[in-house]
Amino acid sequence: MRKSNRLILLEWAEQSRIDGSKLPQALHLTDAIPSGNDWHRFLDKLFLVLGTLLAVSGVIFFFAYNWDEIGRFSRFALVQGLIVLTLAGVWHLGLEKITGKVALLASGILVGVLLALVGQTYQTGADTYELFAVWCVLLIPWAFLSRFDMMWLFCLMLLNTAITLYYQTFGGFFSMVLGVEQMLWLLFIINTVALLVWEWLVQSGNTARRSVRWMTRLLATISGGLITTLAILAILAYKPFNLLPGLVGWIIWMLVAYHWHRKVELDVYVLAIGVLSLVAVTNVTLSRILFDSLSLNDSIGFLMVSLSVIAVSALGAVWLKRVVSEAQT
Amino acid sequence: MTVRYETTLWQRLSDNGLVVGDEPARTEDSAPWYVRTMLGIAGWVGALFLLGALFSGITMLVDSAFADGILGTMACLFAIIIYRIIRNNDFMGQFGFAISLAGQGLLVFSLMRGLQLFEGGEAFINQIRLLALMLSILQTILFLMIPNFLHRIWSGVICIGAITFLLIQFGLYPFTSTLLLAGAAIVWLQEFKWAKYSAMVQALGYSLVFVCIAHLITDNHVLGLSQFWQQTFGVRPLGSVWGNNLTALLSGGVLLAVVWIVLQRVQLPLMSGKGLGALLLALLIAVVGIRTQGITIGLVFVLLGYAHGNKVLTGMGLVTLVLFLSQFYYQLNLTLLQKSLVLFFSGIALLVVRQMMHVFWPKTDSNNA
Repeated sequence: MRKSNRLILLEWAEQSRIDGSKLPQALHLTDAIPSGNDWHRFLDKLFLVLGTLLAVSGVIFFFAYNWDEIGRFSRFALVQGLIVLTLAGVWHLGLEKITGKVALLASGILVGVLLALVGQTYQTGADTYELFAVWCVLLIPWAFLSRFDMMWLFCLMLLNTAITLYYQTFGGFFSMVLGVEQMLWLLFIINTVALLVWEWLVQSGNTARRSVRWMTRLLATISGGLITTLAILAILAYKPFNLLPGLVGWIIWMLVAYHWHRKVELDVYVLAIGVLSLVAVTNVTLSRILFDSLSLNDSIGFLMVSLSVIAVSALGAVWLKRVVSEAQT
Repeated sequence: MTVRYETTLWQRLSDNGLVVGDEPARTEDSAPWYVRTMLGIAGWVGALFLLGALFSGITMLVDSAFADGILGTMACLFAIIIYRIIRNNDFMGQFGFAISLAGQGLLVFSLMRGLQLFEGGEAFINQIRLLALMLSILQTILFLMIPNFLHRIWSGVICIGAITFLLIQFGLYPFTSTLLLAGAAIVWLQEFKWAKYSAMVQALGYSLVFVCIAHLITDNHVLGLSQFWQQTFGVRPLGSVWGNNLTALLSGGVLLAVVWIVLQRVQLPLMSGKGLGALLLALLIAVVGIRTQGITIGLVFVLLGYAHGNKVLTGMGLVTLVLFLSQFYYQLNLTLLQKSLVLFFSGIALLVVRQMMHVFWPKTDSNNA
């Protein structure tokens, strides 16, 4: 979370503390810009991921085209053949290499194409959420096998999609029981469990995972965003019964996030998410009090909320900068 | 005793004779990008409420476009004073940001009333153009006068957005996206050369990137290509259908130029096998990008970001790249079968290139290019 070498050097150059003609050399010396080997590594991964993504997208588009001239048998043979081909690639490359893991991910995506093809061909009448749910269930053993972060993330994405589609499908029928809040709670629980499991893995000594901060940050953003929405919905609800779970859940999330990412595994990004959530929840509460309970004049109310947003966010920034500063020494 | 990271870095540079003297004092703005983003979001929300307070309070008492304009100008001047006099103060920084945004809102509102934009009429389009011109001048002044990264990004985005709008009005659509891309490439490639003005250059570079991506998204997903400009403003796309292909080709030209410069910087001869391979690959992607300009633009940002050690720019480029791959689905001039073939064989080509890279450019410990 410290400033990058590039930014530090640019700052010094702006202050004329590094001569402009020496800046490129300084950037090279401090590895602020990539070396030949860095370019090699980067292009290697970029071509692998982008190439696989493009090729698999091509296959998906091909089956979406629903070409009449190709018979059922040929279609199934084609997609199953591609699955076998990618799995042969996995077998050949091994799951220790990134190429093997990416091949397994490609195979996993093709499994979804196969499921869609079954639905398309036999008109099973299954709801769309079922496709994503079954797809996710089928991929979980592969995710365990591959120990590949992207595969887990893909499974999580499928699960989130399945849940959202389920509530979209049955929203009308079960609207009395299964409203938007229940869906948000379910998504929150699933993504928070994923975050906790990930952090537990990081803590259990996997140094490779410790460097993958984007996973923590992505999951924390989703989990924090969902619980903040639930807390705001709770504050805006007019029934005291609805107020409690959302607010209690939000307070617990904030306390745990603070303890974990301040004391145990420092991550200022998650703390910044927490500050933004605090700004949102405190000011929705303040607005509710000012406009509903006190029935304050609009202009005074707006001014107070504005100053409160500015004050809470500025205080948060002061604290976050202090944490960054401590971490840099 | 703990030693600051910057101290170690300074010592290293000093040992290599690249700097002399004591380590510079720490600057005020040491916040990472996500803290700045958090402050930006909160600042916008604060400004919205402040604007609400101003509209529902003072402007209701004084119902005059001129008074709104004076009030807006005063708020902007006040924000400039806050930023220039009171530094190292987060509360005043946030307050200044909200005051400035609210002031700009009032100023625009007064201009719109003064230009009688709410009443429509025949002169509506010309008045909108005049407003865009005024907005670009106002934001240029604020960009230069307010020494704050977050505010400069805001001013940069609005200013470049307004200029792009004017360029479209002058008949340069659909070449505006390529102009934005070329502008972003020039600014980022000169980042180290113009290091003396680094704070401004970075803010300008990010603003160009933001507007370029926004232009692409609105063009392809919201406004529906040129229909909006044609129906609302009577602007005919320059070069008609060929204009779209030509601008995509020119974006490919920008990609080739960026690859060319990056190769020169890593001191790789252009006529070497690796150099020619890189240029040929860029050419292939530029050709694929004719149908989806977003792919070319995303790749330019990825390369610029990586070449300059800028992870944020690289990330933005990667997201653009993936986002616009999905855009292929909406191409009406190709059948799904044609699209699937283009995507599949492009993917296979990249995987083949990767394999060739391992053969012709094996990774070594002393690999410098």
